Amino acid sequence: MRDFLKSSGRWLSVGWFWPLVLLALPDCSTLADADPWPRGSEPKTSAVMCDIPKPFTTQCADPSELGVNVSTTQAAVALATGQSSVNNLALDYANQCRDGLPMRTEFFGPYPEGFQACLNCGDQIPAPFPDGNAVCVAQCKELLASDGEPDPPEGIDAFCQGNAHVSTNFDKTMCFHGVCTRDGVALAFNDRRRDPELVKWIVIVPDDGTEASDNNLTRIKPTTDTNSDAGFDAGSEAMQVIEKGDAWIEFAAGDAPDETSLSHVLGVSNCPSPCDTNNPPPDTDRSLNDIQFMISLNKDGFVYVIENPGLIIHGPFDPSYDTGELFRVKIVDNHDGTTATISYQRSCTPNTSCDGNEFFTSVSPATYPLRIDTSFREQNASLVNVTVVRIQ
Amino acid sequence: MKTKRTLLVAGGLSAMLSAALAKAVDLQPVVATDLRGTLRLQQSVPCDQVVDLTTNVENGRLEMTPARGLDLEDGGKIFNLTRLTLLFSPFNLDGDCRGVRDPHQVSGIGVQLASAASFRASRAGRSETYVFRIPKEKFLLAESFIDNGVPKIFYVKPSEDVTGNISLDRRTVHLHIAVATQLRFRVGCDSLGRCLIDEVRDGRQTADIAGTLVFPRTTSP
Repeated sequence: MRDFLKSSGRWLSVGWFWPLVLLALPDCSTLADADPWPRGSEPKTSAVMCDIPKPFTTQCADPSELGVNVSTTQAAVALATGQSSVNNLALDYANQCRDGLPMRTEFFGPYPEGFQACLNCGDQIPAPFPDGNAVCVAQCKELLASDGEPDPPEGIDAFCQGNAHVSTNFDKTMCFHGVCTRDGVALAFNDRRRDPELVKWIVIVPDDGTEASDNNLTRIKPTTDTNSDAGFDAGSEAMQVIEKGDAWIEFAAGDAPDETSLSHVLGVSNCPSPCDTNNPPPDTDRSLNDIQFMISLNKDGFVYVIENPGLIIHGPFDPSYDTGELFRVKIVDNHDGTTATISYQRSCTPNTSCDGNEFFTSVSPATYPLRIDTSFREQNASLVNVTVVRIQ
Repeated sequence: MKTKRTLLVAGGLSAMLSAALAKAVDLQPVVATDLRGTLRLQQSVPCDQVVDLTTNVENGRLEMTPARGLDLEDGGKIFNLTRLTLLFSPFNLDGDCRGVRDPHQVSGIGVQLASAASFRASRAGRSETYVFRIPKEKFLLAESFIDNGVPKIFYVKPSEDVTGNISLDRRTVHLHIAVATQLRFRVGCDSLGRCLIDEVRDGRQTADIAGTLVFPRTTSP
């Protein structure tokens, strides 16, 4: 138990009523053994979101835990759709048990959102904490020192150094601001990790024949051939690369009056090795030939799926598409370390699962990493509101 | 040094979950943002005095997932309390014993769930009301406050199981949390550690919280 005798002799100087001077009860069911980490001066209104695992909880998952907990590969999609694990478990299919079940680990905070560690980021980062990961390590130490559970075999310090880190899609160099009280109590907030990323287009002028406006992309090159696939000779790729895990790319055709009489294609293709995921190269093939899995919003007003190799066309899929109708190319990790299953959805609602609205699922696996690629046939064809949800 | 405690066997909930439906479940949370209620502090102090005060919830938020719970074969549900934040009104205390006074201004009182807790709820009658009892050892709270301008934080587990009920049709939730305390009071100590007063006194903190549940748009209440 703590040594309270080192408190000063001043009357009540260690606190009048509150359990900073708590003695552990005989059965030790109440603990007050925190060693607070330096959260800085007020206002401690910012926060780092942390994945802090509980020791001794990494084990083979029970089958009953599969449908009600989020896997590590689903983390970004779960964030976007507001889903949380029921048992605070992360299912890890990268480390599977003999029977094919994933390993699972329990976390302190909800998964995948993470534990909200409040502090004054301006005061405490980069010193004493170099980044968000260091904050998470400090928070982990405090929790493990206070939770009343046995210490991990390697010790609290080593465990936290090795396992605590910022949570899914939380950049270790950033903080959320205005998400805690001045005193450092976590508040509810609009987690911007739930917002899909706006796609950033890499446009090579004039070779791509396109023009980007925010996350929208328009063919500006004059139409060359509107009657064959050879006319798909303008297009650009996105900056974002999908390296692993479940993801989706959402988009719509533009809202010009004649938009449904123009041809637009968006899809994904493997980024060949070596793939510089931080600085991917521009599109050198503006045709359909290098896009492996794509949705075609065609000039006849219908929706098609086209897949390579061989430009295999599926569809048309009823009904005809509307301008503004949101489509998704959905990517689901196959948990084999390299491939994913691609399906195609329509009539989606932002930040909401579109499951059930699939109009086609590919039988060919896609291989990570994946790039977002486009192609257009007629001048002025536009893809708008193009966003991506992925593990960053 | 960390206090040791017997490792709990954590298989119970997993076994219960095996009875839950295996189909895909919408894991969006149900939220209560209008939490209200009280925190009652009862603490025995030297000179046979008792501090007994009640402070109100000023603000708070509770989240449980999935929104309608996981169905169990016996009619019960499993919920996961993923977030609980309570902010209480500030108050003043004034200790006075044998001529020694010690006033305290306490503000910024916040309680938050430090470790999400899954629990089983049993159906009460025919209504969509479920009663629950969360084992005290599974419930870890982080409490913070400012005492005479000095920020303090500590972690605590309840001394009793956390109890309450959830009414899915009435859209209400109630929680009862009780924490036992023991404080050591020392005053007038000399270099040999002999003190005019050196007493351990028992106390209790009891929180009764209620809120209105707001379901996600995609989940019908």
